[in-house]
Amino acid sequence: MAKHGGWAGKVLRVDLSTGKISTENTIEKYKDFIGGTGIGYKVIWDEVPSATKPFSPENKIIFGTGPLAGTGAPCNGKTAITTLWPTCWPKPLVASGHMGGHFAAELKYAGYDAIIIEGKSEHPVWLSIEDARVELNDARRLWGLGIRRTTYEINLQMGHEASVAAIGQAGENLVPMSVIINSVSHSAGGGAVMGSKNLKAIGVRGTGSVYISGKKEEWEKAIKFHLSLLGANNQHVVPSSPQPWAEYYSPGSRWISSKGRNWEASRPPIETGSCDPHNLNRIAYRSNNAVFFLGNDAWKYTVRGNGCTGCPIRCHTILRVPSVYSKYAIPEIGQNTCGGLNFGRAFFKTFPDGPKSQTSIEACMVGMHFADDLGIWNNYGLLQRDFQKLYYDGILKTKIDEKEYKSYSWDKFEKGDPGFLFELLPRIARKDGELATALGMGTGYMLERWGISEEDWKKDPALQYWKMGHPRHHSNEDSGQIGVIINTQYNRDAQCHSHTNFIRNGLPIEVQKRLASELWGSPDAVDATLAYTPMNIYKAKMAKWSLLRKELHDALALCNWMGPISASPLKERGYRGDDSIESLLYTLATGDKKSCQELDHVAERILLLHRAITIRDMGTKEMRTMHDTIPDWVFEDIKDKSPFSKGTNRMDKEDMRIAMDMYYEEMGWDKKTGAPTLETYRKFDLGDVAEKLKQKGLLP
Amino acid sequence: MIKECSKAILDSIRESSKSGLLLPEKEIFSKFTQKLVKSHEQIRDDAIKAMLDEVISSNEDITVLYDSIYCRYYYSALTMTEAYARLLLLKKENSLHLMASIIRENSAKYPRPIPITVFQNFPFELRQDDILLCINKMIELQEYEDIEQVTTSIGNLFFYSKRYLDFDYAMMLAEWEDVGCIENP
Repeated sequence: MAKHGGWAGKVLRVDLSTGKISTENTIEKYKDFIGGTGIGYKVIWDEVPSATKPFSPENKIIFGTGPLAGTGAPCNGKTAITTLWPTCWPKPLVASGHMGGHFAAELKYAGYDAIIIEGKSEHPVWLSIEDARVELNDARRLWGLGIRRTTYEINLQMGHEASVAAIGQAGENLVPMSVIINSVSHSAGGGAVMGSKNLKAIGVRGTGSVYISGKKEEWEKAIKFHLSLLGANNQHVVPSSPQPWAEYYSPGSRWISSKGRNWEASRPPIETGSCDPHNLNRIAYRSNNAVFFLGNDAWKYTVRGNGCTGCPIRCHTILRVPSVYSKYAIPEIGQNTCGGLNFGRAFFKTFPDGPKSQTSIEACMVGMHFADDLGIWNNYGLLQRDFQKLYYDGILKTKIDEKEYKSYSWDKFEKGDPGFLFELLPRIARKDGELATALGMGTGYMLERWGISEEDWKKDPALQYWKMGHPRHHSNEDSGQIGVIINTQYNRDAQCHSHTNFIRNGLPIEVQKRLASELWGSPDAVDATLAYTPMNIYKAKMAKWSLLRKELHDALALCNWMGPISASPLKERGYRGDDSIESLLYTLATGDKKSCQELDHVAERILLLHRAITIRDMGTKEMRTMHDTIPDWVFEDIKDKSPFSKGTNRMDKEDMRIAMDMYYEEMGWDKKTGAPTLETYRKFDLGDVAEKLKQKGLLP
Repeated sequence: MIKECSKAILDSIRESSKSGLLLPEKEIFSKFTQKLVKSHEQIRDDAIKAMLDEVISSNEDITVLYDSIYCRYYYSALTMTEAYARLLLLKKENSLHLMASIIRENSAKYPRPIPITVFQNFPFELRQDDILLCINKMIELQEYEDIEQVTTSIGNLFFYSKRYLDFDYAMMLAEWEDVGCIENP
């Protein structure tokens, strides 16, 4: 067999029930699925029977990297964690989470593309991987510890270069809303699945490297080219304020650097400066997500940005906030981005000193301290929105007894006192009391436990609840019908950023339309924000492209929070990105020459397999009505503005019916049921999958 | 001497642009007349004008802009965009005109209202009181009657031009940027 670059070549399989550790050949078994979620879905389809419960030993959890992990390709730090998702309601189904950090690279350097964890250990263990030396170790002394301490203890043993992916008390206690974290702050869900297997952590240290098939100079040229097209976080390609080099700017951009804006908690302070996009050594200074979310006050606490392997964006801002040590006796240093950064702050409706204030920053620090140590998941902010609704609508009082209700300091909560989080978050991790237990189950199961109709949650636009226990994730608010289609497709929140990274890139609408015309065949593929037009086929093409690129990134180990590169900050390129950057890097790294269309074909196979597993495990082919559902609030407007008028996100039901028709047609799926056809499965070499579905009557 | 001076003028313009500044013609005259001090004043001015013309015609990146009283300013397109150069020119002149231009441009081009913080931050660096003073003055002047403001649910002020955005649209766009984008990261 020809030697491939990119892939390490082996997949590690660890059976916790028997202690057996084995390897299998990545290329022979998984090449058609590339890596990441591709390997994950393949394992779930082949090996995890329908009706398996998430915490059953028969469930498997797959840590999948891809051929670009651990290379010099920008933003290559993702490990896809695929398993039966315990918060998926009313029935757990396959889903994946995407953990950044350094775990993926270390795993590749150790010689593995993925780890398949199966079975259940009799007692707590942790897995150590040091190149070919793979061992299960007794973890009884680590059980009960938080993620930080666990990581520290394992690093003491394996050395500081090891990357440790661990669960906290939430995962140990089988709290469905729990995460796995590596490299301090890089998380993905599935913590309780690890906990159910008595697996506390995986420590990995590799001393090898990733072989690149292409010529060194061509590879280096490709990397420099890719770097030259990068914007700031979320591929925002214009600065947030006018800069000498910039033709455009957008106050909503995450490209925040500027003259006079400093990382003031660095010693000495560092000016971020103008950051001309041609200066590739200044990419890391462009983004500051703490400032983006918390306002200019966060500059004074900023030490620097931090991030994943091979990523110059550094979206996890490191903050030093001395006051939290004196007030709350927690470390004055914290780091995270987006939902993790806002974890604590998002619980509160107000703060005594305003929404972007000192207290809100302290709430972020307290939230990060607990969530990233106990290992609690926020379900893309739905945990916090649920909590606010339950409290302010008076539901809580009716669901928990008086003694428990009084055990919380609600005055602190109402005032926006971060001290309240000391009462709530550890209890969620311990399943301590009715409230904490219910919150930790995830929205769907919490509603069921408390006899609340899901329909009530679907009606409230403030909750942003979508379906199956999860919220919207860049839906109609970002790109009208395109976002809606994307949000119908997964078994948890969609986590697709391909479309939103384009829509929010900061370029004027005329430029966006020109780029859209080149990428998806017509300027009509995109609308100005909040000025949506009726559905057209180009929007369906953009929706499909968005989903395929998400799957492709998840399989290659690239970050979909930073891609695709559909636009760039370069005026001389007319702000074009490069739609084929993935195939350029894949081909050079692996030596397997694949065009952009051929890679999209593989991505479609992966998405199709996800669909097939979902159909098999739901036991119905009626996906259009049973799975691809849209909540009521998408079709409503607070001012009753009609769909397609300016200033509303409101979608039209008949138009969305047409949108789904167009999408299914683009995908080669049956329009009536939303299920892929036999021909489509065959087109993607999934004829065997189709046969199994056919036997169960699950083909249209 | 002439050749050296031309080169020095070119370098000065490019250096200014690199530092994010326009170079006013009067500054060029003041700096380079000293180098030609032995000549008659008229000859010096003529010589500098000739050198400037030469610099512009021989270097595609060097561009001239005029302010409202026809004073000339130079910049290099190698490191500064026309959009930014025009913004600097506006900043040197009337604050009302500056703010209205920026607000109208944003409403027309993107389209979006813009937050007050845009004017507080680099490169405008106006104080909040001064911004509000400008806005209040605008309300009294017919030439700015299209400039309007909205306040988001978390109390932040955004400005827009009603030539391009109606109130509802501007309000929702402001709310989206100030609240929606943060809640949907």
